[in-house]
Amino acid sequence: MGGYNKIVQEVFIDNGSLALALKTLQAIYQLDRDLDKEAAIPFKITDVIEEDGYFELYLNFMRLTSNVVHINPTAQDYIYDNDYLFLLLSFTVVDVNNPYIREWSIVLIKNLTESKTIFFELLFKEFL
Amino acid sequence: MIANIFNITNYLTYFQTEKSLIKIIWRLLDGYEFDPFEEWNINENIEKEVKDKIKLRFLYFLHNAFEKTIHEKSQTSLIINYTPKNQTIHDLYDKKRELGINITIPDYMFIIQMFNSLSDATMLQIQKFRENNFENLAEIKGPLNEIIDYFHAILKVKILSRNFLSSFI
Repeated sequence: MGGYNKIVQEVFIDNGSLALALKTLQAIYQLDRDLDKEAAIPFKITDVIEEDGYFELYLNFMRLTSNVVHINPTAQDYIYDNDYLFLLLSFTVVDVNNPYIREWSIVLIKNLTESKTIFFELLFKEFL
Repeated sequence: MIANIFNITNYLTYFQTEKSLIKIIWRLLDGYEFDPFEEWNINENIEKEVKDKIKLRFLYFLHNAFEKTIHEKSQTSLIINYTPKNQTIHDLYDKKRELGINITIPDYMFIIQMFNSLSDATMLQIQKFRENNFENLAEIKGPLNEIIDYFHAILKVKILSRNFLSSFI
């Protein structure tokens, strides 16, 4: 599987796409969580977004992020500085709409902790 | 005749200068008429809804083409079975690659541009939905669903596109 070519990663990060991808992920995930709490008539996100758009959406975000952060301190720093780690960790679940998302989350954690010990320390402190 | 030759030369020059073919197709789908000198004229007779559907289908097509290329490249058993005696496996592998889709750096940059603009548009739609306190579901459902469909399609294209770009850098 490997990671993205370093130059491909840089082009993606320099054009602000990583930041936008993570912001969009956060916006969609927050919408997903808030719909049944804040809406006057509770409904699920699948009532708003049809299957074509929603199926494997989070999974694809995880695939993208895992590849972008692979041996890339700039991307890893961005995730750490902007507190996206716990957002990304919330996808370490089994989800019918996102098959293999748990596996991709493991790849992401591996890529994050491999070259940046601060993530490992943070995870160790929170979960162990 | 002379005019035709002149046009063909211009078209060839246009494509040889590393233009993004995906961008050109995207503009054509957007209702613009092709012009080698970049004087694009929009055809306003086509409805926006029709154009949007065609553009979304194009993104699906691009994703499928990428997937098919990766799949064919990974079918080593097929390659071995069909190797003629006078060719090495490597030669046939190279020939098989030619059957697949490939992209250039301008194409990749255009994909990134589309990704960024669709990310912004998705966040804007979600914000509008929130401002109305999740009301007017019937009104917002169409545009939100459409933009997330688009965004997801470009996300899938973006994920796979790097496989085709690595050989260029």
